[in-house]
Amino acid sequence: MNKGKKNTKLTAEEIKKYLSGEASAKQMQQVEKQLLNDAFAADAAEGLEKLSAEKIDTSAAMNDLKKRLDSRVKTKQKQTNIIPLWQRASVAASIALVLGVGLYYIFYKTDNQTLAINKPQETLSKTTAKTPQQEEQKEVIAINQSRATKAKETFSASPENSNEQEKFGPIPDQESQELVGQSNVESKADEVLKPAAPINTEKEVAEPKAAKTPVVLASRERTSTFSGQILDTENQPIAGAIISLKHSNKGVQADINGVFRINDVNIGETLEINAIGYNSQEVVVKNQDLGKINLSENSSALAEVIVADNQSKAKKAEQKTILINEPPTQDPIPIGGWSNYDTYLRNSLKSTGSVSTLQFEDPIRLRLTVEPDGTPSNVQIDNELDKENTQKVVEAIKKGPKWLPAKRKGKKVKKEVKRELKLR
Amino acid sequence: MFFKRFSKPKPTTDAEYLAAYQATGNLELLGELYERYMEIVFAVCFKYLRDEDESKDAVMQIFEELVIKLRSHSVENFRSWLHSVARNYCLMHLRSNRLQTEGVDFFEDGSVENEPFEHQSDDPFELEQNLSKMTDCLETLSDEQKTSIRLFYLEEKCYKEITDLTGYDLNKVKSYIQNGKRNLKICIEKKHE
Repeated sequence: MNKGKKNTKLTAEEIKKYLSGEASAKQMQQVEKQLLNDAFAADAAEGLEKLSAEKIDTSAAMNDLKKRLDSRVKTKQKQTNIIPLWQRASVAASIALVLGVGLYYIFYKTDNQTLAINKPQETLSKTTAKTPQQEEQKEVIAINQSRATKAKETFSASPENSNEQEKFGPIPDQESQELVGQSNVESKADEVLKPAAPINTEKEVAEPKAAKTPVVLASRERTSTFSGQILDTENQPIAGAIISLKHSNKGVQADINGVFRINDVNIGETLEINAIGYNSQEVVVKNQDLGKINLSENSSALAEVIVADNQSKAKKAEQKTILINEPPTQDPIPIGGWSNYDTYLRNSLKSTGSVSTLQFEDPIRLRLTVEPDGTPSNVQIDNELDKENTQKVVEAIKKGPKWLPAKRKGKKVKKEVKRELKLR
Repeated sequence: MFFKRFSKPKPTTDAEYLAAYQATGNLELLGELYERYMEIVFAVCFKYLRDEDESKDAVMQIFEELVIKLRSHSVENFRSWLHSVARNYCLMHLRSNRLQTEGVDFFEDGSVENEPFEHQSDDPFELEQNLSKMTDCLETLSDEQKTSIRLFYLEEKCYKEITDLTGYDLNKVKSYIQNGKRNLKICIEKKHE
C-alpha cells in the first residue's frame, strides 16, 4: 500500500512541527502521508491543532502529567516493595514485637501502680506492696515475711498476716497488726527491702476506709475500666442514663440497674451524666470505682420532653386539658425516655413475631396505668387486636422498662398514660 | 527488589518494555514506556474531550487501564493498541457524560472499535502485486481524487502545494486524498478475491 519509506512513527514533536508550518514542503508531504496511514497520529494531530487553536501550552501540561505519572509509578512501587521487605525483615519484626510487648508490659505495670496508689503514700517500699497482685512481688513479700517470722517470736501473727494479704481482705484485726508492727521495728536492720513494707501498707490500705479496698482490687484488672452506678435521689437506679466524657463524643449508657462501665478514661477527666428528667451532673474521675452517683430530678425538663414527644394533635390537646385541670401534675414517663421506650416496644413486638408489623398501618394505641412504684398495670390496647396479640403487647409492656410515676405536688401518684406507638 | 531492577538490561523497544513489565509488574517500566506516548495520548484526548484538565485526567486514567490490562494481555502492536484504548476511553467518557461534542462524527468515522488494529502490510511482495492493480484502480476514481492522489503519492507534493497547483480548497484536497485512498484500497481488495 501507499506506505512511506520511513518506518518510524510520527512523534508529537513532528506533528507539532508540521502544524506550525515550519517544515519544508517535502517534510510536510511525508507527515501528511504518515498521518493518512496512522490513525493514532492523525487523531493526535487533530487534538494538537485544537490545542494550539485554544493556545494551550502542551509542554506545561506534559510537565504536569510527567510529575503525576512519576508519583503514581513511585507510590505503587513502594507498596509492592513492602511485601518482600516484610518477608526479609520478619525476624526484625518479631524482635520488635517482643520488645514492644515487653515495654508495654513494664509501662503498663507502673501505670497500674500509680492508679492504685492515688492514696496517701510515704515511702517507696509501700509502692512495692501496693500491687500485691504481681507475683514476683508477692514472692518477695512472702520471703521477707518468712524471714521476719523466723527471726522473731511473733510467730502467730505472720501466717495470719500473709493470709490476709493474699485475700486482700478487710481490716486486719488490731492485735495481729500490732504484733507484726513490733516485729518490724525489730527486724528493720534486716534487708534492703524491709519486711515492714507489706505490713505497713496493709495498715494504710485498711485504715482510711473500708471503701478504699475495692479501689485497689479494681486496679488489679489489666483494663482501665471505670464503673459506677447512676441513682436518683431515692437510690433507685436510673436506666439508660448517658455517661459521656466531657468534650468528646465518647459515651456509654447505664444498664437497667443504672450500672455503667467506661473504658479509656484517664484519671482527672470529667464525666458528664445525663438522663432525661434529671439534672445533668459532672463527675471528676478519681479512681476506677466511681461509686454511686445520684442525680436530682428535674421537673421542668420533663415537662418539655413530654410536649416535644407528643405527635398527634389529639394527644396534645389532651395533654393541655390535663395540664389545665391539674397543673402541678407531672405525667409518668418511661425510664430512659419515650423514644427509647418506643424502640424497646417496637423491637420486642417484632421479636415475638406474631404481631406482624405489616399489619399495622395505624399506630398501636396504648393505655396503661403507672403505679406510684413505677410498675405499669391495667394495660389496654385500643386497636382491634385478637387476644393473643393483645396479650403479647401487654406482656412486652409489663416486662419492659419501669416508669417514673406521675407526680402531684411532689408526691408520687398513680396515673394513666396514653400512647400511640408507630410500628413503622 | 534491587536485584530485580538490575537483573535485566534496560528495555528499549515497546515490545521489550511490555515483556519486562509483564514479567515484573514494575510500574516504573510501564511509566517510561507510557511517557513516550503521553503527549500523543494527551492530544487525542483533547481532540475528543476539548478540555485540558479532563484530558490530563484521562491520560492518567488510561495509564491505570494499561496497568491492569497489560499485566494479562499480550499486545503485539502497542502503539495502535494504545490508540484504541485511548480513543475508547474518551468515547466512553463522553458517552457517560452525555456530552454532545461531535458525538455523531466519532461513530461515523468507522474506525471506532471496528478496526482498532490498523495493520499496514510491510511485505514488499504484496506491495508490488498491489502496484499493478493500483494503476487499474486509479482509473476508477473521480478526476479530483485521481489528481490529488497522483500529486500526493507519486509526485510527493504536500497538501498546500496541491492546493496551489490545482486550485482546490485545502480541506477538499484532504478529503479527496483520504477518500481516494479508501476507494483504492477497496478496489484492490476486491481484485484480490
